[in-house]
Amino acid sequence: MTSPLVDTRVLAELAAPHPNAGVATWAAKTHRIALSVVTLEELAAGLARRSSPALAGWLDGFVARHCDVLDVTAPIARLAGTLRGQLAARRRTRPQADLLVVATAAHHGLVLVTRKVRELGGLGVSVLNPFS
Amino acid sequence: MSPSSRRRVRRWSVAEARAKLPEVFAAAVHEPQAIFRHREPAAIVVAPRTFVALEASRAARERETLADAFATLRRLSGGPLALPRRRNALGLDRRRT
Repeated sequence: MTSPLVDTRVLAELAAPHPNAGVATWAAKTHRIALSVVTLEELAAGLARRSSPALAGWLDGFVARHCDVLDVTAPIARLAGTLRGQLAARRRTRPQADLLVVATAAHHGLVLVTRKVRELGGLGVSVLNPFS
Repeated sequence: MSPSSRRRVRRWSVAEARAKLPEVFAAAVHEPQAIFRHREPAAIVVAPRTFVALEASRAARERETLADAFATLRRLSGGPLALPRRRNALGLDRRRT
């Protein structure tokens, strides 16, 4: 699998009324991506706040057409916890969700597309920031 | 598929289909015809026009980019997407300090 793993914030930017130009350019040449189940949960939560069946249907279609959804497996959870603990020991606390996403990309050897290059770089994954 | 349309799709065994191939083709003009081998669908015979339409819609789906998909979402939602906040807390860390 070679699709990049895309973090939630990048997709939320595409949902904004006027997406960042760099993100829009990246999205216009991207057909297939990998998604962590963490991101799927966050997108579902964001869309469910509107309680619109059309939005729920959009998410199902989007996932079916464009996404390989990756589970948080035991090795991924183990890696995410290790990274989070190591960062905390250096007084760099990061959200659990961030590190589950990083560990998913690391485990599958995928490029992580995220805005948080400073926070999530240097953890064993290649990161790409599409924001301009 | 509704129950009524399901009734119209004719199921054929391989032996039946072989014996009545012109009939299978004639029926496929109206509805896909399922050919079953050992109770499992082995092939679906569809009219050329149906096949071309299916291929065209598959090609259109494959051409769709992420930008296209989110343009649809923006039309449906009419506002930014409010996402849950990712929390920084690591209780372990706080107790130690």
